[in-house]
Amino acid sequence: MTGELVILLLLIVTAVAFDFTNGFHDTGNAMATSIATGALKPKTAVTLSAILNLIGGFLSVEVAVTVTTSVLRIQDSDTGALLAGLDAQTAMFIIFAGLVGGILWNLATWLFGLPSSSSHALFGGLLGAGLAALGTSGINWSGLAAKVVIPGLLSPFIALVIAAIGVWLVFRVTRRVREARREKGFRAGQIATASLVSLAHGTGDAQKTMGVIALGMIAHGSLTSQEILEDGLPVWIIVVCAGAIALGTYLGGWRIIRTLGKGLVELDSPQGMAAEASSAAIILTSSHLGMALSTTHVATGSIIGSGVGRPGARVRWGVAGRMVVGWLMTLPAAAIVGAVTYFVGSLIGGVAGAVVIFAILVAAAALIYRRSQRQKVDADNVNDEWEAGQAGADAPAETVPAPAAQGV
Amino acid sequence: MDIDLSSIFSSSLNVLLTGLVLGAGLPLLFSVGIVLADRGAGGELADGSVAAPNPAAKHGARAIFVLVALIVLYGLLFITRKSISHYLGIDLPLG
Repeated sequence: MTGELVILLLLIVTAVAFDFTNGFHDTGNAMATSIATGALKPKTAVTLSAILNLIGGFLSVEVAVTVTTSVLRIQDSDTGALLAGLDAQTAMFIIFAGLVGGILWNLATWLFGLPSSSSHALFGGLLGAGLAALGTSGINWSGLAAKVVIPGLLSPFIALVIAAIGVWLVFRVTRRVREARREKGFRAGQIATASLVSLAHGTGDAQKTMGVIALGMIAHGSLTSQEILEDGLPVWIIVVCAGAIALGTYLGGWRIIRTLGKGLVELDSPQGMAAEASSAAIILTSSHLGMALSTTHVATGSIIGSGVGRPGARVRWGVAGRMVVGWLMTLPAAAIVGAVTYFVGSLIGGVAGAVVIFAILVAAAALIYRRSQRQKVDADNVNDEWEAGQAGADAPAETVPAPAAQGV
Repeated sequence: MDIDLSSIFSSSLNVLLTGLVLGAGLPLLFSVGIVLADRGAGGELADGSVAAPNPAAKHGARAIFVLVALIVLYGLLFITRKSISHYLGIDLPLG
């Protein structure tokens, strides 16, 4: 086995791990409302979401092989081939370090129960690694602004407005409907809309990892963009990525589900339905309308909107504020981790460098996991009252994490 | 660095408007269905009076729920249109 093949294999394992964190980080986007209102039992909700993510993953036929082009200048934006002058090892280390940044930020935000965008985490990691490797000329600054930062800032507000109007209309129209009937009717609607969000998530997000793995293989030379264009992605990439995102979804990011479902707003089924309908409509149409939005930003905006639009409902703006801080920190924090990782990897260089990066990732992930076990949030306590201050995301969320300290 | 602000603005506006029609319009339609279903069922109301079942309202409710289901089905086909074309060779005339 050559050294570069070892690096590629570690990169692929790391990409699959990122896909897995992407799954459990985002379970809440689709299912937090249904779990909070009792429309679905927690385990049923994550199982349904996992199955739909799996199906969604398999449905991905449009290959996101140009995944890095919105933030980096290492690929041809049409074909996905590596730019000339970039050697295989540098390219693989950039992708590898970017993934490490994305995973560690995903895990850190999960520990604090903060829903944050997995795509922003990945882009942040790639950004930092790209800066470390190539300097500012390696970054696609206008792409970063137009495709990542500005949509990231706008999407929560768009979702908030739509969900608020939706909820207001729903309560206005159904104000004389008997309570039991209303709850029951909207539960059905809630499950349907949440399922749409899960399916859309599987198709959109699993693709990103598939694109990253494909890019790693292109950099290594074991796959060409021409082959992908003609025969599609190798089937094993689709199987592994769809499986990893589904498994992650099934394990459920309970800490994040709790924050989204209980922390922001006290939800009942009409609100849950309106929030998911808003999320589903935006997520499904936005990429078609030329704006790729983060599922997390949209879902969170919608849930807050469902509190804003309902007369008499209270939004916990403190919790929302912490989330926004988390979002603003996502790109720079993941970038710092990505850059540091790249430096460490390239300083040691070669297979040894890749092994060290991988070891750092595993150690940091284990540390975060161990810390999470001190205050477990799972299917049993995910719906506990928020205010009681008992187990869960409430206590740790009081202190917003310092970005770099949480990472490496 | 060139950022096309006007195109960002117009796509955001598109997302907002489409989102309003589908994301707020459909829940509204669904709510009307719930109201009709509630009227259609009759029985004791909140104020204690008893209403007779109303078959017309019941049918109306059913029609609305079917319509919402069809729109959701359209949404599903829309998400999967490329896969359907890829695996089954059927190009759906959607959007």
